[in-house]
Amino acid sequence: MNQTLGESPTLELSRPKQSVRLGEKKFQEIKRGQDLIETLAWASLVAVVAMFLLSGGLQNLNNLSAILYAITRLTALIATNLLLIDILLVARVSWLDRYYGHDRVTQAHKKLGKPILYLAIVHVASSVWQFSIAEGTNVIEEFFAMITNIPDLLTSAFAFAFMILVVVTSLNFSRKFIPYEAWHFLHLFAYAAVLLAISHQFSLGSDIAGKDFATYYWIALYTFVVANLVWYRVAKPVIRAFSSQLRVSKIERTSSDSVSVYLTGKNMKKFSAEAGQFFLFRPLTANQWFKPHPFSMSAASNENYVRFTIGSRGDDTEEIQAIRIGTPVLLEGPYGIFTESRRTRKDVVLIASGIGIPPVRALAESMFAHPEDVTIIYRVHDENDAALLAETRELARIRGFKLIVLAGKRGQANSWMNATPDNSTDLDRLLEIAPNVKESDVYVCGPTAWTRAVQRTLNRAGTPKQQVHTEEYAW
Amino acid sequence: MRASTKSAIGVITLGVIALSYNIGETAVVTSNLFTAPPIAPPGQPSATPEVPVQPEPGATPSQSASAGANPNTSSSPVTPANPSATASTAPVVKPPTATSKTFDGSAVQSGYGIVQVQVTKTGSKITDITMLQANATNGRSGAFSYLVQYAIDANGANFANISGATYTTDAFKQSLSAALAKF
Repeated sequence: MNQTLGESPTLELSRPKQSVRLGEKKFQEIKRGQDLIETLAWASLVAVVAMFLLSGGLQNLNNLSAILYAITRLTALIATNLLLIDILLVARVSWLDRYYGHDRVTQAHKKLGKPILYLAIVHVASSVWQFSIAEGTNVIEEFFAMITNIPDLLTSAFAFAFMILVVVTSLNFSRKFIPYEAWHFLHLFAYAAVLLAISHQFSLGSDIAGKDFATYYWIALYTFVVANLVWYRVAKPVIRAFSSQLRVSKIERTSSDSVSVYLTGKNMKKFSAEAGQFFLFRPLTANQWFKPHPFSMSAASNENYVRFTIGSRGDDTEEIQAIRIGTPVLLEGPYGIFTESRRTRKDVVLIASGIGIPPVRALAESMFAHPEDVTIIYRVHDENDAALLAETRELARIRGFKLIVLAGKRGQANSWMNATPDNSTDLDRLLEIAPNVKESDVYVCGPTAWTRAVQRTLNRAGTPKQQVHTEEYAW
Repeated sequence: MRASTKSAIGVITLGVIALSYNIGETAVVTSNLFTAPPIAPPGQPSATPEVPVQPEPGATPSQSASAGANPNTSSSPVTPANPSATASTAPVVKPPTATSKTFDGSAVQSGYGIVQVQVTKTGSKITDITMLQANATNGRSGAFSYLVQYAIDANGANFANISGATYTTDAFKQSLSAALAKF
């Protein structure tokens, strides 16, 4: 519901939440959910290893050939299982997002890539080696004999090549040289790799072909992953796009390098999200539809519009700032746990730097709080040219929240605050601004290095880690 | 994951792995081609019970005596082995169940080589299967001795695939079915 407040005809605020559940118990529930998810993932790995052992996989390991055969099978089973988990991690599954947040899920996805490739390399190498022993040929000759003579192995060889391509182009080192679009295009080959490798798994796989239980297990796992992938990454956003037909309805310059973009359409309730969450924003224009950008909502959910405030960060954001009114936009999401659902304490400190302000501004708008509960710290370079600053001031005034603007040049090295004449430390100043920071939930949004600096200060202040909430765009 | 959950899961995992390993160690592995039969040493094409190819004309049904255990059999009712002994008495006609026939299956190309079987049936029972062509590279030649035994036990082509040698099994079954269709 929207209400225009008498004293500020310019700023429309939606009604804040009317209740919030606080306390440690919430934290325990999250931990329990995470444990359950991790246990299931681990159990799937144990299951495939157990199936391998139950069928006598480690019997008669009395010669090199037998040992290589066992290695071939075991690495294949574990790698495939991990690969399916890895795909699930990038399927933007809402139940994973709720427990871990988009950034942690994406980081886990990234971390798993290399081990999977290593297992695949061992799998290919040991199978070629073992076959070459059986045939009495050399490994190079045997490799080509295998891919030409054995059905399904040629496609699998391509799958292997694609896997190498995908992992190599995703290394931090390579990402520096490859534009996002090219990387993303090459990354799609991962799906091709999975598809090309399936046939040999079911036709040649000694632990699957001809074994009913194993066949059902793998079919179930594949189905589960594909269903999640198709629903969350494709069907849901597309269906919603057709039913809502979001378009840019208003563009507002908020500072010299940021603009607010308002999207409206039918069924705006479908886009209701928690304040602090973000959407992937795809302008449906010829040269931008394939480039999704993560943007946090800069106003709490309401029935009229979704609003994003977009800074200029040197990448495509400039292009997006130039978006025209009427442009159709596809939104995927909402994602993220930079929300009040993670709040466990009465006192809240919201800390933003530069274009990190949008989710903080939205959180301040929607939080259930008494005036003295919320402290907002906004770090900017120029007080006269900061995104959403006027609006945030107005919001703080209406709600009675304390707003501290830290403007100007940075203080000492590694400081996340502005310079002051007396050279006092960040910790002292933070304790002065928010004396109860140790007992507060702290929400931090800004550039990565700056966020780390804030986390270090909070650590010194004694704020427990689970009370510090950050959202990084793992992009 | 919380430390308590981690320890519990760790213990359970170890238990499951140990138990599976123990059961697996004693499990009868009929399908593990690469470990159960001896692997062919390098240079030697196969370690299978590869019977020399019979000088038999190809796909025609051969009604001649098969090379098997029963050289005297033919398609006609069997006559007594030594007719001289009881020449004066009434001829003893043996039941026709002892009749034995032999047919060749088709030659089937699998991913690993050509497979062709020759089947001998006595009555309705498969009594012998000879590999006319038994080519299977990549260590899969070890499958044939098992396949012959499975087919005799199942008295037909209706037995489980040998995993790890699916293509060889399929080729064997095709050739076998073709031979059985001629009876």
